[in-house]
Amino acid sequence: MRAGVILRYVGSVMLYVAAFMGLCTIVSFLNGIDDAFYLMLLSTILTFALGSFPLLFVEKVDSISNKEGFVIVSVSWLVASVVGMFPYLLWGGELSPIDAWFESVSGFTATGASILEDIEALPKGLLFWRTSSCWIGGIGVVMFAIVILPSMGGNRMALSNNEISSLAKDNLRYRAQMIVRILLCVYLSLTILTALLLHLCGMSLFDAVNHAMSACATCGFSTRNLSIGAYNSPLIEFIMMLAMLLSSIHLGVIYATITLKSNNIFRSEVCRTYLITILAFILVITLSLYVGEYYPSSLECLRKASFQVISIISTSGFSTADTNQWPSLAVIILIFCTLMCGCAGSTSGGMKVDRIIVFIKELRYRIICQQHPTAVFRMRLDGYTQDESQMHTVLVFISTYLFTILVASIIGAACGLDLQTAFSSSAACIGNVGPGFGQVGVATTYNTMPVIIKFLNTLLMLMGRLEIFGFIQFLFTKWWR
Amino acid sequence: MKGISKRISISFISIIGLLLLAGYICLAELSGMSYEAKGILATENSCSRTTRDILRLVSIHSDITVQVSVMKDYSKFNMLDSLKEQMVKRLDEGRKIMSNAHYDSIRLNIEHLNTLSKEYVKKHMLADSLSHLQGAHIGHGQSNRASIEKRYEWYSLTYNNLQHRLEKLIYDFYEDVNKTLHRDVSELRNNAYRSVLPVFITIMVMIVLILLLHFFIVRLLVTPIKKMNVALKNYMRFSMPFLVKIDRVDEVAELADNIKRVSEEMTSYKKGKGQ
Repeated sequence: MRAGVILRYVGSVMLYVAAFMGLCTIVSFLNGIDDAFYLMLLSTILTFALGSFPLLFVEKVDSISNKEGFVIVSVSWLVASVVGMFPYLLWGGELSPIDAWFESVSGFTATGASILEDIEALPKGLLFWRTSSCWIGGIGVVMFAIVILPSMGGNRMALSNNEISSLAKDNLRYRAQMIVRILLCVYLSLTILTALLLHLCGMSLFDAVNHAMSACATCGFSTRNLSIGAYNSPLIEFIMMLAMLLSSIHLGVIYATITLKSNNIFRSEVCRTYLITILAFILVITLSLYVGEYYPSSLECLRKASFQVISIISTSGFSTADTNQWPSLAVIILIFCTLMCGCAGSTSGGMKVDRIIVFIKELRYRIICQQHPTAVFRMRLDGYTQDESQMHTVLVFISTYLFTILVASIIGAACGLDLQTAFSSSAACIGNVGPGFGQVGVATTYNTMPVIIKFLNTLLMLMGRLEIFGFIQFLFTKWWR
Repeated sequence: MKGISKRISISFISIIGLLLLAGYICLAELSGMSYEAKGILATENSCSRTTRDILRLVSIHSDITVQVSVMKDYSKFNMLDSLKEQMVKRLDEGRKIMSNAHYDSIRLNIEHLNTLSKEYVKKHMLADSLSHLQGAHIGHGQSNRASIEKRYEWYSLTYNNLQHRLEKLIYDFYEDVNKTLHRDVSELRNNAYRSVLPVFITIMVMIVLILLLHFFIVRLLVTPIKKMNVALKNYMRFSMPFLVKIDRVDEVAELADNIKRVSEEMTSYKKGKGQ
């Protein structure tokens, strides 16, 4: 493994992060040189210096190995999170170093969990940096670097293999370069369209851009303390729901739908299952809210239920209601949404619907095998045959995922958290959802968590974003040889 | 980027640039803190002086009121108004550090105190002039003592109450300003680390850059030189060909190429001589 090569590509990613910091500096400048101007300027200079240094000394290489590609992706996430701390640390206020680390990791992993009690007190430059970090994180720090930096040449394949999950690639019959371009085009277009629509519905331009970036990254960072609930506008909520829903569907499938190709949303088994599940959950929660008379009318119940289900299942985390006050049935369904999450190839995190479908099919296959031991089955997902190794990987992933949540919940309980808080915060962080229940509900923040829990949650966020195995491999010394 | 010297120069310039930036930030933050501290001290001084001066003037007003109303020293009657003007002037000077509520209430009470004294004294001045004109002498000593006692009763009950209320308002103003200043001082103390943090982070980044520089210097210079050293030793001892290849375009690669050419020429010369 060539350390110099790894540093070069990580440096490229840092330059990209520095560019976004520079953009935030411009936002601060346009806002009348607010309190965030000098700290964003300093952060830009420092990140640029860190990023450009390796590029000075390391020449471009023709090819990188798979291991190097993997390390580049993982280290990029970590280093981006570290430099992402700079603006928060320099701002100070209620942010201690661990809080700054938490906020940075939450942004880059597109989790959207926050420790800030008063978001509206932040200057605009810093608010824009929060949203930018999650927008970058939504599509993967490396994806941009792959597309934007032409010097990467043929190394895009090695890097994209490590960034896009195998399930996501199944639905795209293109070369890696094309896959990356398609995903990025859809992501950008969705963000711009959402921002325009939100602005037309009455949001200020700044808020519209921020919320659009956050929704398309399925992050959940808002510029308001009450999140989307602050606007109290059904139209805005509808647009946000649409943006979150589309962002949680395979971006390639959206592209196929727009370009009238065969593997579109309506023909995709995964998308159909996902949408039907969302519909079912919305109906059940609406009914439970209506029966419990939580809201004055059935329409209001439907509105609140729809937004919260889509927000949680897409791993965004925006809110229009305090779900902590909802009936137990609604809460348990939302917790299930926290575990299940969106589709592979989207910006959402979590276990992914694709894996749940594979799991259910595998379960069915096993039951049938009990009855017909010599039967031979081929498992298909969206028309693609899943071989034994892929099914095995999915099952191991799900087991590891749930086991990690269990261990994290035990640690949370040992640190004094109640069961609901410990479990929901672990599930919300590893699924990159953001808000949980109990002390970390939509109306509260992670500020009151003990320091060790905040740190543990950041590890869970990184694990979730790197699809667990990517993170765990770092712990094995044999892998480094 | 070609050439090791160019790369190392740029690196050193960046590190020095960052060091200067850290120094500038340190100076800027410290001067900001010093400015804030100066502001707090100035406010505290102004508040103390205003409070002290107004209380002193209130005390003098009280003494004059006793002399005029109880001791009937009417020659000092006009001093009441001039004292009031001084109090108002002093109050206006301290307006910047005062809230509107404090200013209005203190001003109102000063006016009220002065009006109360003047009206009481005027009433008794008139009464004294009338009785003097009528030539009242019978029981003069007893009625004089009773009059003084009555006036003193007015002074100790009515005037003193108002005076104490005014003094309380002034103390309330002083305490409020001090509370605000205490808060500002605590905030300054708590945020003191913010003045250090930018410098600290810049220095940490500088350290990382220095470590990276060390890593790259070892990689670009030291390791190839070691390889060349070993290859030269092998060439000299065992006449092995000099096979160090450096895939870069810089001074070290040039050196390696030159050594290789020299070794090849030496080999061919030896072979020729041997023949």
